[in-house]
Amino acid sequence: MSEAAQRLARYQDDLARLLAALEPAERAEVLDGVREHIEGALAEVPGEASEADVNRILADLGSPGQVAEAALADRPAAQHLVTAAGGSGRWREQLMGRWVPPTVTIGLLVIGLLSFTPFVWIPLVVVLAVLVASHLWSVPEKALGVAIVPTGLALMSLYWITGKDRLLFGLGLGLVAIVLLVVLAIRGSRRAAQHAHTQRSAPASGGVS
Amino acid sequence: MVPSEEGILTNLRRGAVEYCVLASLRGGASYGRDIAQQLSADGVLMNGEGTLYPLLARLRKSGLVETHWQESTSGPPRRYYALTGEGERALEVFIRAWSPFRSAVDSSLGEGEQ
Repeated sequence: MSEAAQRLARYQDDLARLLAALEPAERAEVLDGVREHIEGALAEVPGEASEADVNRILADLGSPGQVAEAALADRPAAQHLVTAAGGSGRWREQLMGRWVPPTVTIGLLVIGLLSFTPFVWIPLVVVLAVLVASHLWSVPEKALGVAIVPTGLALMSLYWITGKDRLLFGLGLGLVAIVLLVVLAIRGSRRAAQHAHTQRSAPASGGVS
Repeated sequence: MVPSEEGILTNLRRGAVEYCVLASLRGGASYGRDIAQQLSADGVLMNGEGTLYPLLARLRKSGLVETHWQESTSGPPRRYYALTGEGERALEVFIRAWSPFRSAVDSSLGEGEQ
């Protein structure tokens, strides 16, 4: 997939996530409309769409947060649940704050480095619960995030038991783990920022009604 | 706290823009991007063409517009939106209510100035 196509796909994924609180048929209709809009706009571009074309199409559409805000307007009950699927309450809303991505990823890094001692296993479970419950990450991202520390711990134990020198191997995996955490931090923070944007404009409209 | 201009516009759009969408269909059926470009040209009625699609979904759900597919010369088939009878009546009611509303707001803002 080209860079441009990836950005368009990411835009639609982000919007889909922000619309989680809408009823499925309406959500599908909004997403279909936006997809057809993008396809129609791409069809009018001669040849392969350039980065400038994609920028213009996305700028004209407005941010996923703005579209989600329009979709969730007139739904005061749903407004603070922009992404909390089906209304599971305010605590899930709390888990979409900007503090969540750095806390989870730095937490996983620190706990991961100390995971050979059982004392950090309880905080580990807490951090993983936040990761899984938050709507800031997609399911595959959550699965990767949850797998990092146990995988590292299992490999470390294997090293101790067999006594074989897998240090280089371990370093490589450690780097992979850190890269994964950085990706999770960036993606989560971007969605948290979008969510914050949606929330900031929503109370202005809800407050008057 | 003084509300921002964008915040005020968000409030004003609510309840009015969907009738602008209906009004844009008075001349005949149209497709999403065409309606979006018409209404978001000046950035007053809509902040982003994408915000049209939630409106259209809501209007269709309430039976004020209906959709059909039509081939396009420049790309994939397009979903066209058309006013239903109920949509036309809703628009007429809005137009009747809007005019006195606008004058009342204008005159009270005018009075405040003097």
